[in-house]
Parts: sequence; C-alpha cells; structure tokens
Amino acid sequence: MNPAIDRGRYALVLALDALLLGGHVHWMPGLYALWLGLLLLFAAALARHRVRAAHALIRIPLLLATFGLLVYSAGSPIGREGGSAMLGGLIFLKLFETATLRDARVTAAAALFFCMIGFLFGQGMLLTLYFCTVACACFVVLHLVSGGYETATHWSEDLRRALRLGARVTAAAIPLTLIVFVLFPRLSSPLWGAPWDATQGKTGISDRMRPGQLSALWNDDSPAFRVTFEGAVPLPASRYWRGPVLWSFDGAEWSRSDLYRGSQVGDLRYQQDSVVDYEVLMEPSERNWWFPLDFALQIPEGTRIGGDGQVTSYRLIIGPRKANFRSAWRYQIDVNPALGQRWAAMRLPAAGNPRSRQLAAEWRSAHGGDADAIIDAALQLFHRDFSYTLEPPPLGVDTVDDFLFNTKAGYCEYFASSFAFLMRAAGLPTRIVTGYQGGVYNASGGYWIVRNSDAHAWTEVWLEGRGWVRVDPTAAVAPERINRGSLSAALPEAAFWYSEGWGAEWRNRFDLIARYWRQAVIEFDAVRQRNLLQQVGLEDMSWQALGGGLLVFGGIGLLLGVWLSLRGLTPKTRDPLLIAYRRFAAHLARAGIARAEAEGPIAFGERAAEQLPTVAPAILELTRRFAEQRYGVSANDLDLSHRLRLARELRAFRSRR
Amino acid sequence: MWARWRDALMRYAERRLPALTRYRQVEALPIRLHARRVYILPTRFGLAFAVLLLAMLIGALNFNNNPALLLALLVIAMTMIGFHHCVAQLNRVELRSVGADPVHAGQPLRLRLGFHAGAGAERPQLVLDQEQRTTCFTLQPETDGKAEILLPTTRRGRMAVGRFRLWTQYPFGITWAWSVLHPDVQVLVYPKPEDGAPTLPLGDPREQGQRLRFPGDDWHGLREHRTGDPPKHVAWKASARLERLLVKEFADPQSHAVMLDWQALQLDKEARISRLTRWVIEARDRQIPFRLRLPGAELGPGSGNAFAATCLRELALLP
Repeated sequence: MNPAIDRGRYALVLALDALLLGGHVHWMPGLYALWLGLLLLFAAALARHRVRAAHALIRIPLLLATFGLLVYSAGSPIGREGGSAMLGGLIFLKLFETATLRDARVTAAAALFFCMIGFLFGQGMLLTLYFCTVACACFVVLHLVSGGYETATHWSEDLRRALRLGARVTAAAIPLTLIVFVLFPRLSSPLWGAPWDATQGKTGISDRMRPGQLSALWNDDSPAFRVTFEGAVPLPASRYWRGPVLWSFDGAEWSRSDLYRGSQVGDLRYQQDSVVDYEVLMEPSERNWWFPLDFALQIPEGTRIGGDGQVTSYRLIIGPRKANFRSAWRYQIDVNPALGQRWAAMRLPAAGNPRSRQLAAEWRSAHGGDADAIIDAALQLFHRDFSYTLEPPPLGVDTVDDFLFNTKAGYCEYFASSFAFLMRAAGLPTRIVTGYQGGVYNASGGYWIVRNSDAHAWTEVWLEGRGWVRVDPTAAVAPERINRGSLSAALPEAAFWYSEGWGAEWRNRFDLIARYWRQAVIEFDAVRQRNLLQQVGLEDMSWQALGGGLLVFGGIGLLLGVWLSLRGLTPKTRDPLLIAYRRFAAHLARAGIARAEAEGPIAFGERAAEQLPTVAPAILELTRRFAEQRYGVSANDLDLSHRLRLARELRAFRSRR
Repeated sequence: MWARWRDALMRYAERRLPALTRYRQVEALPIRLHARRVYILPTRFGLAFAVLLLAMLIGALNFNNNPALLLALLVIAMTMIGFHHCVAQLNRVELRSVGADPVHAGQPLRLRLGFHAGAGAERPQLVLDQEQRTTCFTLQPETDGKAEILLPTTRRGRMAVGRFRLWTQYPFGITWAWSVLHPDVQVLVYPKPEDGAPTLPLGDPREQGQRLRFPGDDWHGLREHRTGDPPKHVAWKASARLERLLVKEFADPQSHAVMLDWQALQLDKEARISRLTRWVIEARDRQIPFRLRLPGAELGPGSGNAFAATCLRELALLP
C-alpha cells in the first residue's frame, strides 16, 4: 500500500526543501547553493502536470553534475563542509524520484537530520529558532503524507488542519524539551572526534603559526589531555600549558628554529611554593609534543626538554599516554641567555609591514630603553582599540599591518603574532609560545580537562635581569579568556557588532541577547549543569538521581504537553446561542436534571419541565425557541438579533426564582 | 510446572493485554474502545525514524552542540506527544451498530458500521480493515459517524461479520495504534441465483390470470368423474345428456399468482434453492405475483419488494 503523491503535497515537499536551503545557504559554496536552488526549480517544473519519478536519463546526469559541482566548489565530499553539502545534494536529488507518499516521508525525515547538520556551521539563536521551525514544518509534511489519507481529500483542506496540529504539538513539546535539555546527562568527553578532523589533519596544535590556521581548533571540543594535580592547583591565570615555541618569522608564518632543537635548559630559578606535581593523560595527537604546565622541572622517561622549555616525546603519541610531571609556575629562565638566543629572538624579515615598524620605532624613541613602557604601550593599544573574535576578517599581504591598522579584531594568534612583531621591531627579543591555556575541572573525575578548543598562543619577552617573561597580549583584549580558563568567555561573534554607525544601539542589544544565548544555551555543559543543580539545592547529584529526576520531570512535561495539545484540539464553538444553551443545560444539571449524551433538546426540555413544574413554562418556551433557531431556520434567514436575545434569556434562566 | 507457568502467563496476559485474548472474541454491541484495549507500536517508518532520532541525539551530545541537542529533544518530544495523539484517536470511539442490506452470495456485501466518537478532537485518518479490505473515515467528536466496508460473501444464510481492526497512523505515520472489533452481529446473505435458469414457470397460457384453487365455492366447470368424488357434485343432467358420469367442479378464483413450488423441481437441494431464488428475483423484477411453496412453509401469494425479501430470506435460511 503505497499511494502516489499528489501535486499539492509534492509542492509542500518542495517548500520544505526550499526552507532547508534557506537555513544552509550561509555556509554552502555559492555555486553549489545556486545549483541546489536550480534543482528545486527544475523539480517543480517537472511536476507541473503530474508527479512521477524522473527518468534515469535525467536523474543520473543530475547526480553526476551535483557531485561534480560539489567536488569543484567544496573540494571533497568528505569532511564537515563536503559531507554536509553531499547530504544536502542527495536530499534535493530525492525530489526527482519522489512518486509516492513514502518517498515524501523519507525526504521529511532526512530534512530533520539536515536541520541538525546546520548546527555544525553556526549555533546562533536565530539559526536555532529557524531550524526548529523547519523541524516543525517537517512534522507538518509528515502528517500530510502519513497513511489514512487514501480518501480523496484535497491537500489544501488537510494543510490547514496539519498546520494547526503542527503548531499545537510544537507548543506542547516545548516544556518537555526544556526540562529534558536541562536535566539530560552530558558527556564529559566526546565519544568520537569532530567530523571535520578528517580534512583538517590531526587534532592539536601545529609547530607553524599563520594567523587563521588555529581556527579549526576552536570548534573542536574534544579533550587534548587531562591533568590530575597532587596538592595545590595553580591559579587559572597561571595555567599555561607549554607547547612548541616559535622563533622564526618570515613575514607571514611563524615557525620553530632548528638552532635550538638540541639545546639544554639554561639557568632556571623557581619559587619552591609554586612547585606542583601532576599526572597528564594525553589523548592521541599523532604528534610528539607534551604540554606540561609552564615550566617543567621534571619530565618522564622517554621525553626530553629543549632549551626553550618544550617537552617532546621520542615517539609519536598515537594512543592515549600517561606521564608524571613536576612544574613550577613562578620561575625565571635564562637571565643570562645562551649565546645567540637574544639575536634569534629579534630577527625580522628585511621588508614588509612598514607601518608597524614605524609605530615600534616611535615607541622606541619615546620610551628609549624602557622595555616595560614599550610593552605597556602595545598592551594599551590592544586594550583600547581591539576586539576578540573567533571569526576575524581575512588579512592582506602585510598581515601585521593589516591587523593592527585595519581589521583590529582577531584571536590569540593574531595578537601574539602582531605583538611579537612590534616587540622585535622595537628591539626587544620576543618569542611566541603555543600550547593550551586554562582547563575545566571535572569534579566527579577529580581531574582537569583541557580541550582542543583551549588552544592558545602567547609571547615571551626577554628582559634584562628577569629573563624570559610571559606577556599574553590576548589577556589585554579579552581577560575573561584567560581568567575563566576556557573559551567560555563571552566572545563577540564578529567585530561587526562593535563598529560605529546607524543602529549601533540595536546591534548592541542584539549582541546582548546573543551573549545570553551563548551563555545559557551554547555553553551549557556538564559543569554548568551541575552548578545549576547546586543552585537549586541539589548538591552532588549522582547520575542515578539525575536519571530519576529526568524521568519524573520529563514525565510531568510530557503529560502537560499531551494534556495541553489534546485539550486544545477540542473544537470550540463560537456560536453564542449554543454556548448559552450549554450553560442552560449545565444549570439544569446542577439542579439535578443532567442531559443524557444522546438526548435531544426537546426531549430534555420536556423531562426537565416535568421535574421542575414551577419553571416548566419557561423551560418549554426556551427549549422550543432554541430548537427553532438552531434546527428550524435555514441559514439564509437567520435573525441575528433574535438569536442574541434568546442567548441572553438562556443565560439568565434560573431554576429557582 | 510448565502448565502452571503458562496459566499464570495467560492470566497475566488476560489481565494486562485484553485485546490479545478477550477482545478478540465476539462481543455484543456497543463496543467501546478505551485505553486498555488500544495498542500502539511503531510503524516500519517509525523504527527507521527512531534510529534517526537516536543518531541525532548521540551526535548532539557527542559534540556538546547544545542547539543541536535542543532540536533533537524537540523532535523527540514532538514524536512522543504524537504517540498520545495516536492513541487518543481510537480512545472513546464506540461501535454502536453494524448492518447491511442483504446481497446474494458471491456479491460483495456493503457493511455499514455506525460509530460514535466521544469527546475530544476530530478524529481523521481512521482506517477500518478486515483482511486487506480497508476503508478510511473521519469521526467528529460527540457525533455519530459511519464507515462502510465491502465484505465478500460465499454462502447463503447468516454470516458473522467477523473481526475488524480499527487503526490509525495519525498524526505523523510514526506509530500505529489499533484495536480489535469483533461485534456479535450476523448479516443475512441471500442464496446465489442460478445462472441460465429456465424462465419463470408461468404455466398454461390459458391459465394466465386465472389461477384457481380446488375445491372452492364458485362453479367452475365439468369434468370426468373420478372415484371418490362426492355424489352431490355429480351433474346429473349433463351426465344423462352425454351418457358419461360428469361431476361439477367448484373452484375459488385465485390471484394471478405464479406458483413456485419446491416439490415440483427435481433437483438437489442447493440447486432448487438457487433456481427458486432466480425465479423470485425475476417475479419481483417483472412485478408478477407469485407464491412460494417450501418444505414446511407456504408463502404468498404476494408481490413487491417486501414480499420478495421475505421469500429470499426464507430461502436463505433453509437448513
């Protein structure tokens, strides 16, 4: 039993696909999105007279063309973008073999899944609302193509009912959704990696830095490593996990210097009370870097520490690895540096970024040899004019100039890179350190978790008598990024929202809402969940208690939704006469004469008159006039004023004078 | 041991799953559906849909993608509310009457089932089926509604209408709620009329319109004496004139009815019924009055649809 789809319902499926395209067009390669739109129009044109599966001679070229365009515009059908685009293409191609209600059902279900794919590319509030609406539209289509419509009802009659039903079920589902959203147990670490790992290479940081390259990590919430401290835990602002140190800058890219690969740690002094012992559990990174807390004193076997403090493993970390470290987080290193270190940390390309060089030269001449003043000037500049964003605008050829004087928005790499450039240009030896910053405590496991999204880059400036001093220019722009210990700092999505111009106030308000959304929804994780439950007095919820609460409150939400939606579907009459008569009958019922389910008004009136002789004439008279108005008069000669008068009298009726 | 377990299991099933046992047996009308006898299972599409939802949920949790989780939970919540809407479709539906106009064996019987829906929403997309014969209908709340389904007939007599399934995939085609209706109702099936039967036995053309019943009160004619004729009927004058013993015959003028006589047919039982059925139909259609003589009963004379229906009923119910 697989009935054919009619044109009306097919048009609804087309509309659903159009809605999907609308939600995805912002990330799709433009050419590909255009092609999908054309597919939609073509499918509509083919179904102009009759809906049927297109001939294979049409379908196969379309499939090949879609695939070809995908590879041409997105590069590969694998990975986040390519895979998603491929799925979208298949959903649109399904239109060409939709001939039955079942095909339409499959499309509606696939559309639901594709709605969710949209959240890989954005998690904003408007986008969420949009996709939730599209999901409801999927249910409307599902309703219209479900079984039992083999009767020849016209689709437009059903559409009105389906829209009503969809709206009610959606509204009824909201309480349940929110309850479960708050209580549903969250995974503290993903079961598998993010889908775009495949195209972006390995997780973890690279030993090269070109502003823009780290960005892929921001979306990657998988853990990089976990740390268990023995004893005191360093302050959040000291939790810098040291990775590769970058010395060389070629104008566009920072990289390590082979000169220091085999060097030894120089003279190191540290405060005894800042020494911590801890165990690190590395996730497989397919690199050989460890990320000890800055600065490592003792390293495990099978690793070595370079002169710049980077700990490397002799073997690639392919499986999870565990190791014990000792670090001191208040230290001085290389107060008397090895020969050539300072020189290497001051090298710059011969040309490029002239404006930055000029600015550095101005500082140099203004502050002379006062290194602190120069650093301060740079940090002030960042603090005053720059904004932190994960979606920075692209940079031109002179990356530092472009960043410092035009775009003025970026994330840690941009700041570290330009800061290091300025310092070197001003004559201060500076190097860039990459690694991780922060970490989130997992109370049930008793460990700290550092995710790939915590990847960070900062700088170290060599100062006379103090050695290499850490300066984190990002902290000058987004101190929350450092103090909160994770990416959870409220980050503006785009610098656009801070620009001047008309409607700036509205943009600010919108940004405020976006911030709330980010804090309340996007960043709601296991930690926040626990904090929230603690606030309502539920300390240390075990997962059993959480599950029980989920069942109980979810059940309440479900029953509430069911009750609301079913109650809402009871048709209500708008006829004042009928409403008045029901009140009249209810009044008699209170007097002891209940109207039987199948009892007509006349019979009921006579029965009531018998039992209430005092008001019998009134009952009979009202009943007679009601029956006449309701059943005896043709719709054309309804006398509205008469009906309203009768309704009033029915309402005014009392069984006792 | 095993028997005890089985008994316990059956008792449990009887208590918890009445539609699997008790409600499959015939029941007197009206049959009122309630939540205990409405069952719900996912459709095949629903199973695939569940896998999809699970994938969405795990995916959202895995990437800690909260907007995606919201969407997945919303979809799951809507699906779950849909379950209740599905059951509510059948809940408080009452089968009040079952009836049909009789047809002849071999013809499809148009069975009319009178339903009444209790309070609640409109109930579209209801499907009634019996062995692959389905019909769709909609019930309005607190109103009577009817469904018609065509049943095949094979033999004459009373036919139990059998077991029906009332089901729906409302609202989203993800779940399937059903209940079994087995009303204790029998409908009449007339015998199959014989094909190519001889035409209606209108008898001697002379007798057309002059059917008589012997003996009667009115004088009819003379005939040869037969042994046993009462002497007072002998027509002495005529006998003298013709020198043969003649008797006066008396008869009542009969209605102009054709006699359809069971005994006059030399066929086996079902063939006789079949032929008589054909003749009754023919007489009815041609508006000819007729009488039907069956073993143990004589009907008529009469004509018209009502009389024909009585005759057909008697034929149908012959043992």
